[in-house]
Amino acid sequence: MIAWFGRYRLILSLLLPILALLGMVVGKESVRSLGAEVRLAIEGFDPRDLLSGHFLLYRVDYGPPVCHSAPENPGGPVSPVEIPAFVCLDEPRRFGYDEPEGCRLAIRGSCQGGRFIAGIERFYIPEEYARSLDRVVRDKQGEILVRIGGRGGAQVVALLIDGKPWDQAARSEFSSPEPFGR
Amino acid sequence: MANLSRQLEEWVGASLIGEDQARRILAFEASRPGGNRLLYSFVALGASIVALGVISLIATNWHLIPDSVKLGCDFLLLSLFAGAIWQRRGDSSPLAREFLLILFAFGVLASIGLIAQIYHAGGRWDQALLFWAGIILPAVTFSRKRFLPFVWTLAVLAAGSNTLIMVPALDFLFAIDERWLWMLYILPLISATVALLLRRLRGSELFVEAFRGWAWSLAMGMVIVADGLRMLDSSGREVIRHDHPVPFFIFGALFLVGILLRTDLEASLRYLLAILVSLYLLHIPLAFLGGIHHWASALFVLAIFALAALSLVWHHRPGLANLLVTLLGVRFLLLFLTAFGGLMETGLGLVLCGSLILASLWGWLRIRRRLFRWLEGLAS
Repeated sequence: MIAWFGRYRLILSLLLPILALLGMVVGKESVRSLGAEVRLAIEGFDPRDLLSGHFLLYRVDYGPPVCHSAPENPGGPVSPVEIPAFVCLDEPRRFGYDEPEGCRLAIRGSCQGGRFIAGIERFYIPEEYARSLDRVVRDKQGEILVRIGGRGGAQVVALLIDGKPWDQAARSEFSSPEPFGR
Repeated sequence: MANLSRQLEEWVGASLIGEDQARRILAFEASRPGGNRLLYSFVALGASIVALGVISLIATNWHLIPDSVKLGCDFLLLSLFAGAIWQRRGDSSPLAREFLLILFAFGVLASIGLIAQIYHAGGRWDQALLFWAGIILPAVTFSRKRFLPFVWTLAVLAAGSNTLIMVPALDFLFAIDERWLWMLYILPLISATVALLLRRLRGSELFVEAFRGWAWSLAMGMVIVADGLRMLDSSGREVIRHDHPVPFFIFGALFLVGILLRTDLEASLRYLLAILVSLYLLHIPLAFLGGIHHWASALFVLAIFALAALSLVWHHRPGLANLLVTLLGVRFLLLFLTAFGGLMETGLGLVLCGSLILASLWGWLRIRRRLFRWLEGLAS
């Protein structure tokens, strides 16, 4: 067994990252295809991530106040570190640090510095549309379409501007994209 | 390698060794991790620039290309790199395989970025880096040069530190904005401990070297930062609140005990390292928590750099030792400039101190053998 492993160690070492990445893609694709769909309002701004290109970073409006205090100190200040938390999307929507009982659809995330982070707070966009979209989202015309998997993991599927997919809205509403590099 | 070739030619000319021996020595040295550094540096530079270029191309976000095509091309490229590495597994020239390994490793990192972009995935940078480090580690173990293990080690140290800092359980120890300082303070010791633990693992020499190298670099960097902070604020005010750094002191004390118990080291080196680590453990908190004047900080720095240079020479790392001696000289000069202000006084002071250093060195060379014998006697 050990001799066999030694002989094929190089192949296994090279296959491991490729298979791991394939697994990532399959996992995300399954949530995108099979998860429950929810529409959430957003407001945001535009930083740059050098590794993954331009993205729109926004705050999601879940409805009720979220991450308003540390769990062990309900009336006190927010905690700066990550604390697991949930937002139940059944009406009426509610926020909590414990997994909500009897909730059919909940998003799993964490509170950090007073913000609820569920992995759906960014949408990657082409550079030339960054400024226009940022302006539109700041004017509170933006929404995201989200798919939620069985264990509460959420994934952004689409960015909507006035109910239309962002690229359609870009073609009809923006006279021309911002020049590259400006 | 050029120096070695010249030396071997001289030895062959003086009939000290035969030509066949000289050829075998050259071949052996060429296959070692440090062989042909200049050529390898260019290979590593070229591969890294290609990889960064690929990452930049991903960053332009080609929204017109379907996601399936992007992913397909990405996996095809990774497979091609992997196939080429497999094909060159028995290659006598390691450079081409190293080049491909670097491309493959950075290609995997770029793929993580691409997948995050396609699926608009959130998450922290440290999580992505730790994931990359985990899946690429088996491939990195096939590297025969320092570059990839050093990069991998840096990724693990940086990402691991950030992950530890964000752990909610540490809330009771200290405030979030001070955690980075304390983490950087203890990180060299963690890195050195990992290097020590990895020594027993076969085939991990490059990783041991990497963790040890980063331990030295981070420690000296922290000493410079702490000293710099004290120089900028000579009032002795605390830089941070002293929120329960006790666990770090406990870890430091355990590390110190670990050094003293290492029977594989010569007694003299053990005591040297113990004194060095003690000074480091004392200096950083004193500098951060206030209570020492910048002169006292300067003395700590001079002692730490001198002992560290000595230790590095012992460990056959003359390059880093020379750098520390240079930094020691710079700090000396700064100390005198701040102490005396004027050039004449500084000059007189420097002549005096330089003479003192030379006299101390002469005295040290005279007594060191007797001192080490005495210390070894104590140890036994």
